[in-house]
Amino acid sequence: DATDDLLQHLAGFKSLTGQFSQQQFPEGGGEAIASEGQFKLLRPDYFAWEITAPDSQLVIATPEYLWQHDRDLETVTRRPIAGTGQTSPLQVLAGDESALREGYRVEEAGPGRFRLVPSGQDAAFRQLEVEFAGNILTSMEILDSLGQRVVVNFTRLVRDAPLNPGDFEFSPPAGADLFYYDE
Amino acid sequence: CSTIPDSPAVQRNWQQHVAQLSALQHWQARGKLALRSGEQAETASLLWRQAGAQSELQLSGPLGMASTRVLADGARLEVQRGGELHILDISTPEAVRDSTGWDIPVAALPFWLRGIPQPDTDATDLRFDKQRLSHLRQDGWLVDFSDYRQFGAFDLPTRLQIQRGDTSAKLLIRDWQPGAPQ
Repeated sequence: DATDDLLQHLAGFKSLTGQFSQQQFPEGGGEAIASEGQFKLLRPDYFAWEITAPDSQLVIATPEYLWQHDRDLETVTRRPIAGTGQTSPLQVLAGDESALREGYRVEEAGPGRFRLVPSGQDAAFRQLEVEFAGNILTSMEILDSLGQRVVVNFTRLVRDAPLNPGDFEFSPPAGADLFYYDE
Repeated sequence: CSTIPDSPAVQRNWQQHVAQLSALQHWQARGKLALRSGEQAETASLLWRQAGAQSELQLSGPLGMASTRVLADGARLEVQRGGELHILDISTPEAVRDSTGWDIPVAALPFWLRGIPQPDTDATDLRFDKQRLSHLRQDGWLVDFSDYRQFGAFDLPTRLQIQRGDTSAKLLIRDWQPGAPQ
């Protein structure tokens, strides 16, 4: 079924790195807000999502913590992963098979395109679509819980680049406002 | 920087500036917000649309996570998050904190965002830098403006920070659109 097909596409890689350009369409219209950056993913528990323009922002997930560092506002927040409850779209793609099967209903949404609808109530988004060219992830479209659309196009993807947990370590810069949720 | 604009010319300029910005009833500001209190801290992209007394804020984290819409019109606050809609009484600051968990000066923010004090509430300790407000104290809040830029005919803040007790907020505004949406 569609879930097996999606899992087959995702099965091909242990790690993924690349660049992205993102367009965020506010609910109710208005011009899109563009941003770009790079990301890396080490299945099943690690990912780093770094916006480099126009903002400067970094989100890092490890098995234990979700870090958010906003360089423009000089803030760092750290949440225990268990506490976040909300799985971000990238963690869905990096996640293991059972998490995907249990948490989402998957439908075909076109050639190489899948639509994931969270089965749980307080999901982080209303709907996620991912598209592949062959086994290469090319784009994803997030419909968030407010009806805002976020379209992400991936480029310069490298599969199974040598990554290890050390590549996801984060130490807050001096002078940043720190907020650790579990302390 | 001086506390109260001294020479009559400077004072006139400031009064004109306040009048010009108070008359601005429709505007949109886009940027980022970092909120912090004793119990929680959030950062989010911010889209603020103002029409008269009605404020609409769209906040969302990276990848559209935890997106929240807030509608406020001085007496009522609607907070929509994750498919749930909460309608809250904000006629008093205590009501705002009790219902949202945040001590946010909802009524004053639309004025501070424009770099002017909230009218009909006394503001003290006004400080100026190049004839623009750099600091004020109002309703127990310390408000600091660290950057301004010209947008059309308007000189508007692009970085401000507010603080009272254990609550603080930093705002970075990247794009101002003063005037009604075309």
